[in-house]
Amino acid sequence: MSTLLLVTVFLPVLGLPLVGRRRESARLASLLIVTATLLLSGYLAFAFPAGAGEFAVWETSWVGGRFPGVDLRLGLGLDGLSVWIFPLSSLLTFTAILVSWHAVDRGATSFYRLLLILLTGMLGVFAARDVLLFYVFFEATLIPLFFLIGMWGHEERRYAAVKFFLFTLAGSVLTFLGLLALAIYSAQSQPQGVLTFSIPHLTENLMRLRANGQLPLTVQIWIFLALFAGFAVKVPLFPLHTWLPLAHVEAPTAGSVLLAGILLKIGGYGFLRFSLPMLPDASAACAPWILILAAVGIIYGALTALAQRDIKRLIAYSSVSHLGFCVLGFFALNPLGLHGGLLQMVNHGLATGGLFAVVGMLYERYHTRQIEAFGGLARRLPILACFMFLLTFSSIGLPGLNGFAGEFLILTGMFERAWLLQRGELVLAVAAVFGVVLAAWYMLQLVGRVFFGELKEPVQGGMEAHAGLAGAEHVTGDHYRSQGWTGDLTAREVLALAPLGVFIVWIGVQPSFFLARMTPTLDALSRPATRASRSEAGPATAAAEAVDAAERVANRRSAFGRAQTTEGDPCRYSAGIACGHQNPPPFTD
Amino acid sequence: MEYLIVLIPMMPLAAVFVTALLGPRVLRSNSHVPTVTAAAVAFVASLALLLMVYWATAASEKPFATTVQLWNWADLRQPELEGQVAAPDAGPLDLARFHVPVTLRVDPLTAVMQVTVTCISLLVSIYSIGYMHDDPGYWRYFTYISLFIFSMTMLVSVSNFALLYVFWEAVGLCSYLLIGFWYHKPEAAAAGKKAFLVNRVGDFGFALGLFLLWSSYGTLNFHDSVHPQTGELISAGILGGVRTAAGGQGYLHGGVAMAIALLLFVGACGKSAQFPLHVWLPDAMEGPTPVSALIHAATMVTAGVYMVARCMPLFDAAPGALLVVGCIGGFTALLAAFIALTQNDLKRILAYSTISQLGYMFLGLSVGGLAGAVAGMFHLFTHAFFKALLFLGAGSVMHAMGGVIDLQRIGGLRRRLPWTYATFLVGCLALAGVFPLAGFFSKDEILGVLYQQEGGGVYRLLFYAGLAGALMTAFYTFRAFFLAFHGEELVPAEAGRHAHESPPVMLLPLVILAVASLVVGAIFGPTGWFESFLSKTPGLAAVAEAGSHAAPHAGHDGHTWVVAWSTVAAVLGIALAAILYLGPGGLLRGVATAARSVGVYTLSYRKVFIDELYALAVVRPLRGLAIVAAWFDRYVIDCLVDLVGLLPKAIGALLRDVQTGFIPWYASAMMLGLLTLLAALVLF
Repeated sequence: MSTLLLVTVFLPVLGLPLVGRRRESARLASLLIVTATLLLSGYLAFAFPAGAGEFAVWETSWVGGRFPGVDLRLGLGLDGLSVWIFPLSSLLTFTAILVSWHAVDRGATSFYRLLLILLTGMLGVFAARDVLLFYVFFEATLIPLFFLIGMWGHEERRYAAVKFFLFTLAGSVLTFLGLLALAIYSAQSQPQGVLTFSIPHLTENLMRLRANGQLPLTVQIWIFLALFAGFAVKVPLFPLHTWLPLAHVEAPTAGSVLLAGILLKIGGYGFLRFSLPMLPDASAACAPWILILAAVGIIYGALTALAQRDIKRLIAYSSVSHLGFCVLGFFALNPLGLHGGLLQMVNHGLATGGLFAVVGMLYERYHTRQIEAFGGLARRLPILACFMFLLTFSSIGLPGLNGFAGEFLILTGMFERAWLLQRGELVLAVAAVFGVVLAAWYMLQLVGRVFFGELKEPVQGGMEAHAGLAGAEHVTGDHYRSQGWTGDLTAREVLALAPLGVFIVWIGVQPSFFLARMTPTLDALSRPATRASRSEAGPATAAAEAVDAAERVANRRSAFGRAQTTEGDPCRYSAGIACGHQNPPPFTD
Repeated sequence: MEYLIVLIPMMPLAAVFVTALLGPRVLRSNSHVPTVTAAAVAFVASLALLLMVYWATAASEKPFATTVQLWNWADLRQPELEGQVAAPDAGPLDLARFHVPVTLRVDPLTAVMQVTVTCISLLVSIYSIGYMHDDPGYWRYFTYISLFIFSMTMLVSVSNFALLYVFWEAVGLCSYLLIGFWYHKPEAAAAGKKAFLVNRVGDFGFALGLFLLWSSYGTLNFHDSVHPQTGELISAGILGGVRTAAGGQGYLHGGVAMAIALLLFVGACGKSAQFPLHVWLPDAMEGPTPVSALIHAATMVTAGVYMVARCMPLFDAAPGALLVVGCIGGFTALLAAFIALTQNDLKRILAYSTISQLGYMFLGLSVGGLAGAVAGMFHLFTHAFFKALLFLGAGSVMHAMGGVIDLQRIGGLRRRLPWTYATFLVGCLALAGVFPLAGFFSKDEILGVLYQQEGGGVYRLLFYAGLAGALMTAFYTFRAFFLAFHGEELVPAEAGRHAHESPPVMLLPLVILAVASLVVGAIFGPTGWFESFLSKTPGLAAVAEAGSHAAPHAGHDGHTWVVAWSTVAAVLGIALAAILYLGPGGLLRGVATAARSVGVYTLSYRKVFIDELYALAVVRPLRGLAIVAAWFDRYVIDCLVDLVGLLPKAIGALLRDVQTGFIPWYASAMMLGLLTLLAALVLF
């Protein structure tokens, strides 16, 4: 399995030479490579056993041998945090290639090569078990996307690309400093002061330091803020989000799909991978402030989306709102919120990635994204409308689809935190629930205007619409672009969207399947922060609660005569023990 | 029994897939076959289920419920919260396990709802074969209808609040899709959106109620979970046997209980169109008429009533909340009846009538306890038949009149549409509450429990509101009836060659519903069968035992008085309508002028200006805020960001002068640096 993981991560880059010079061969080759990667990563994800901590771990020494004080490794592995985002990266790249099939005509070879590099970057970020490797892959996602936006984007692409790049880079440099500080701190705990960058080792060392009281809160908070800078930009958290609408609007469809679907998730992933497990006290201390930012972002993003006229801009602002939900879940710091937040990252990738793909298909047909240019398209493009509705309902959290599963867990977790620990935060929970109402408003307004009402097609496409329809049966390849094709989805486009639809429904109907594979890792990584946040509520309340609880237990036992036990429960919780982080593999060289 | 409860929703679900896949290409004009078959099987299965539950309950005095778990929707552990008991004095449970199983339940309440829902669904599907026959979206229509039947049957049989919420919104989705079925009509699209959004506002409260339930009771299940092998109790469900058996001790009281009940009721207000969230239902009439009959009259809109009846123990723990339910219900009943007095669109009159009748159901529920639940549920049951009948009758009129339903443009149709006329009359009499039709018994039951309720003048006031509502109901119902079927014959041009009686496939459901409207009240009301059956529902059995409320049929002397008054109200209303609309025209004009001069007419005709008020107080401010937010984002936040971006440039500009390009300057700087380094070495 570990070799398979290694192959999966580097397969797209290994396939680069196969991407030929001609457009047709380039896209076909890249599609085949991505399909292979998708199958492999899908196999890895579904082979991931429920209840496992880590899976398919591959590790080798890199620098440690020659420099005694340093222990640098190349390590890859999957765990509960990455198990779903990892295959999602391949899935959305698959979609991205299919939606670029005709949309990209100049520089196709470089375009598809950049997409493949981007895919390796994304897979690597989520599989990396070493801080340096994580950072290398992180930058490897940044540069291809910079070029994708800057070269294949729309009118203001240069400005957007530079803004995106500088924003992310500025944040990530601070994050890197924070990660270095963590490594140096953890080296203190080692007898020989070996500088390790391995994520599990770092976590373990830092927890040992914290247990000995050598990791004071002030230090934690400074490092936390440094990490926060990069992750918050990446998420993006209000008020650091302004690069996002710009980048989305200007990016080519493939870029938007991957940016929304995967790259934004690196921020949230970073919180879960680094901030929460390594700096639990700071996480608990900063949580109230971050929760406020998240709740403000939910409402603010939703309101701003309501006023947008450009479809892509609207969806970009909806992302600000939706990712506010993810962060809200993470920093509720209880299992419900964390599970919900992590699931919601996957959900958002499916729904928003899909929405951007659909908008790209509309743009390809009509060359505009202005909402008022459209009307009544459900009649003209019924299959496209079907997908749009599915994705919209996923996005607004309609029960039975995936968005609901994530949002419901997040909001339950947030409410529980507020109710049990800090009643003042109920305001945030209520605001977040109100964000769900606003989400329905702006999304239904969008689909209502574009797909319902009297048929209204933009002039550019509409002029040739009938010619396009007449030739609908025998349209092939590039032929249709010149004809101004405005027919319904082709088989290729359905293939791009259908897998997303399958997972949208599956996660909505049976989220437990997906949640169960997250649980062990998520619990092990977040437990210190969860505990810290509970003691944060004040020792007095905690003690009182303990006494209360004991009394109540006694009361209800006498009242009901039946002892409450879950000892014999077959599905009794058994995480932590199974988690690989407790026993790091011995260092061999 | 377990197979049946799974079979009932699975049939329509299968029909969804079959119709959606085969409808457009293969089935075409036969697209109704899967839906009708599924609804028929589901109806037969529901009847079988009802009988089985009846035999099971008849055998013993104990409440009856059984559950079947399909799969786990979510199952998360919270080890940090192990041992923390959420609700004081409550059953054995804690917040340590967030467990949402997909569990279906069978109990008397569910069985009654299943029969009602599947029966109306079957009849409406059959009727739709005729009504929708040449619509280009024929298969799409039946796909949505099947989806609705699935969602609704699931809604009444799930055993968990989270899943109740799931199907609560799922029926809302079907409603959205079916209201906007003719999506090319801008009004239909707008009405669908409005319905969804207003329901979302209600769901906002419902969701908060769920979170509060979870945080304070530590479970969302209705039923108790027991260990599969040992049979030990793992957690006591909110409406499960353990908690309800503990009586008042099983539930929280005070502010939290009040908050839970009120938040759940906000959800009920949204779905069941109660003031102030009633505004979506009249607009929902843009959808096809059979949809109005099925979803917006008989089944979906009653989900709120079902939910309150189901959660009666929670409401019983908060008497203040019950009073609020009563006040909202009573006010809505009056308000909607008042608006219905002057409307000219037959379907809208029926829509306001539905809102008003739902208000009655909540009035009944507000009494609390078993009596309240039975009163509300019984009216739900009878209302489903006669309101579906009225809507399908209106649909038959529409079908004949080429889609025209404006009472000013149609009239005197009794000769052209004799079957529709006769069945519509039965529906009107039942709605007005004339003995011995269905509406009489159920409305009477509500008024009876209100009258007998101890607990102060408010309930007495609500009783009088109910009587006044009954008077108005009788009046507006027969106003519409006389305008449509009596007087001079008036057929609009749109009718064309269609102006004749509907085909048998549409008349058959009308006749069946008319017969049902005639008899169901008399069969189940006075015999006490409905009440004794429902009292075997676990949650309701407990509130009956709690005995804090007056039994419904305890004092029959008061009851006679109530019967007399409600009959007088009904007859008076019909008589008034007859005098005004069948009598000399001068009288009507006089009354209308008088009503206009004091503004009452306009107030009623313009629906008390509530839509305008919302546009002014809610929609516009939020839109304004959205524009401000978008402006703020572009010109404030983004500018600040760009300003920060300028910072390196500014620093660069400062330092630019250092790089002069003169070799001597660089050399001297080098020397200076070297000297500084040396000095540092020497000094430290």
